[in-house]
Amino acid sequence: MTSGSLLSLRDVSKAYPGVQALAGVDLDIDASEVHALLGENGAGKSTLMKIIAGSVKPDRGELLLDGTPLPAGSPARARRHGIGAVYQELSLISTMSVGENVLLGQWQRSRRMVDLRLTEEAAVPYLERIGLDVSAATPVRELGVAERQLVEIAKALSFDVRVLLLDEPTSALSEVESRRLFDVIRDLVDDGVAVIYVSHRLPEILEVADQITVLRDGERVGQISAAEASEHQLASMMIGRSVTEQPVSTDDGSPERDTSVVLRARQFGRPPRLKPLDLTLRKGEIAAVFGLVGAGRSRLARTLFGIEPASAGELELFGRRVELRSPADAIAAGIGYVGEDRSAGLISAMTVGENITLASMPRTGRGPLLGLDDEKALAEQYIKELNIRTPSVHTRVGALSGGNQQKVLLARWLCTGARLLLLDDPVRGVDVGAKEEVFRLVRELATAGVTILYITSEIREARTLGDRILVMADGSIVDELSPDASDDRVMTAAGGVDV
Amino acid sequence: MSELSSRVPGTVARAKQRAGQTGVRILDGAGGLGGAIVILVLLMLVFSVLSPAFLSTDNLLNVLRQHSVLLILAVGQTLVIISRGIDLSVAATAALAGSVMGVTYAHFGLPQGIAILFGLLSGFAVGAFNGWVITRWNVPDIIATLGMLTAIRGVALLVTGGQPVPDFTEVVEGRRMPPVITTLAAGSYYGVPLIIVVALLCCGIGAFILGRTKLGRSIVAVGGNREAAHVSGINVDKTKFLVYLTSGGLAAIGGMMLSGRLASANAHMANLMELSTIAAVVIGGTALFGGEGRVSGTIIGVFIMGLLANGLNILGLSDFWQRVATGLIIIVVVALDQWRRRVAARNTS
Repeated sequence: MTSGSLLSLRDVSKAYPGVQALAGVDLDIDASEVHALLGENGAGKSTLMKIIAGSVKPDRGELLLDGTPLPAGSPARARRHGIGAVYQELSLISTMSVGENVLLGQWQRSRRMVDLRLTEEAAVPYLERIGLDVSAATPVRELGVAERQLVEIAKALSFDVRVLLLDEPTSALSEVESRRLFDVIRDLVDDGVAVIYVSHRLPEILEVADQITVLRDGERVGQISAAEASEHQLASMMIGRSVTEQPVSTDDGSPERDTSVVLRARQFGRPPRLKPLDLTLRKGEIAAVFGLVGAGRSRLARTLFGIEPASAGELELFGRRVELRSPADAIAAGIGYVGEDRSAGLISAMTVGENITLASMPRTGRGPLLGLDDEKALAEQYIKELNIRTPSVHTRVGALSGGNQQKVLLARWLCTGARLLLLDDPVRGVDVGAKEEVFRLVRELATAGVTILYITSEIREARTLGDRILVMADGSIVDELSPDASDDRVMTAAGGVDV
Repeated sequence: MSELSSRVPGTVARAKQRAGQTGVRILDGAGGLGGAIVILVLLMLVFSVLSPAFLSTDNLLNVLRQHSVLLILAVGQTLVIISRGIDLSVAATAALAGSVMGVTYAHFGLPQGIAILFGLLSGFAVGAFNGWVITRWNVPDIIATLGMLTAIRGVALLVTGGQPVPDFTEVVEGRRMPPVITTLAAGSYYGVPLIIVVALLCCGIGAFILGRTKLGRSIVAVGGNREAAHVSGINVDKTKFLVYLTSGGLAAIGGMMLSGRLASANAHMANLMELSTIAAVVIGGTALFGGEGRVSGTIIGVFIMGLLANGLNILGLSDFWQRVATGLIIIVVVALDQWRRRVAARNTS
């Protein structure tokens, strides 16, 4: 623990209902260094970052800036002390000019009136510092994502920033744009700024960072200097004990197991974001789809489900050519879909029962009428089968825990009798116990003959659940691996780079 | 839930939360209608103490009779608001339907059944147009129906030539409004005004749609989470279209009842009633941003607005004060409801 650190965290902990997001984390950040925070989804990176930026108050522990305690839980105060954050979701006002955005709230005045021209002029030095070559008067809506990112950084600089937090800054950037961002980061560091860089992309972290702190399940696994680290070493630190975990096969060994083709896609896609791909899924298999953020994995599911209908190729389901133009088509064809954003699938003001049977109205009702009795019976059946912990079918679904909400979504598709389930990161934000339950459920469904496309951003999940792992990068399936492929191999394929 | 709330740190916060929970439990009673019922009971208590005439059957029936048209329009508005829309054209549609019926019956001399059918069709036409513009042209609900509010008053003026109907210069001898409508709107049976029965029938239809049909479930789902409804195979556009169609039809029934009660129709009648329908719906506990609500709440909402006007009238307060009081009551009831939701949300997330 160097005493001369610019920013230090001591024993910082934070719990959310059902999840210990951070458990006693120590961290020391020096001036003029790029310090990367590395970890899988749910490792606690974002929580840690929000605590430093003041938007989340830790349950325990303290922050020290130049050795003096910094009151936690106030973004404004953190900013006054020179801590600036750039989040994944950009916070620019797209109708305003670049200059206005950079100096938002610090408008220049002339004769006591806000003067936009003066404000824009005052923003120019910040834009120059990050090498952004656009006029300060340009409306932000005319900029691309990479440029907006730089404007965000310029905005942070306007507060005389000493610690700059960057959350997955390259997730929406191309290779070239990323390089440009790294150059900007280097320049800032040379000026004495400390940069905290959150990411789970190994190659770029090795490229840009000086120090790397790895988090796993809310705990600090270790700190390592980037010069001494290798991708393999970092991957095993991120994944930890699970490196030794054996894949669980759903194959029960009986030779007469029906493995007929359920889905066959040929040159199927929605260019340019989802490139034409071939895909075959068999009855009762779990095909894990692994990819980094932006690899197109969610898009694959959304296209297969007709949310963003395919514009190329052909699709065969259960031996019949189909064209899925809407979710209603997909449901009728026997597909179910659980999206990556749970709140986008549930109707929280509706009851548990109504949510479970929502997609089954054509089945349970008669003509234009609802089949209330059938609905209740079905809902109760699945609440029991999936062990959904709810006081009753009439409880509002919003009152349930994350894991139980996820089970409600699964129940919705069991209710429609779906034979193919597209699950997009179904255990995101679900606590550990409930996770295991969802995993078990997925396996049981597969054993019962349901085909599952399981999308995940965690290698561990892909390996333990998948009968095979499809790796996606840049909008296409780039590799197909067996679940005992090494983490290295999977990560390398997903990174789209050769090591 | 108790497990979650016990995690909230700080004794002060916990004590505050407990106090909140007691209040919330009252407001949450009767399926979220607690707040509206509390206000209704309070109003009745205060007015009955101040004026013995207030609680008489005659007076209460009178309140209902006077506000039946508002109630019919508000039922349609309830469905629209639950679907996360808003229909500013209901009052104008009512005026149009009354005018169309009056003109076809009294001026053109068509049979009363046909005149009523035309009135009804004019309402459905407006509703269909609203639904079309909103779903196909992607015009925001509030703008589409705001435009229609103005346009439909214009159409009604064109239909009536700007004159009250019947206009005595060109009326078919002896005709004013269709007798069936006059009976339903102004008649009574064993002392019960029939218009109340008509209004309650409309409420029944609304409640039936909402609670028993796929359309109703889809309305709640679309209002609660449009994306989730879509992903569950619900046709969002079709649902919205049917909601506005229903609202247009109910507005037409309301407008024809109003003409029957007045024995006349004109393009300006039911002026600003669209705002009263929204107030009644919101007072009745329907979420202004959709996803939850019920017709029974709207009945209470209309009743509260009616009793308030009536009670203040009996007390001899001027119309000026009535407006002030009505406006403030709307705000208080909705503030209570928002508080209930906030506490409920804090307890569950």
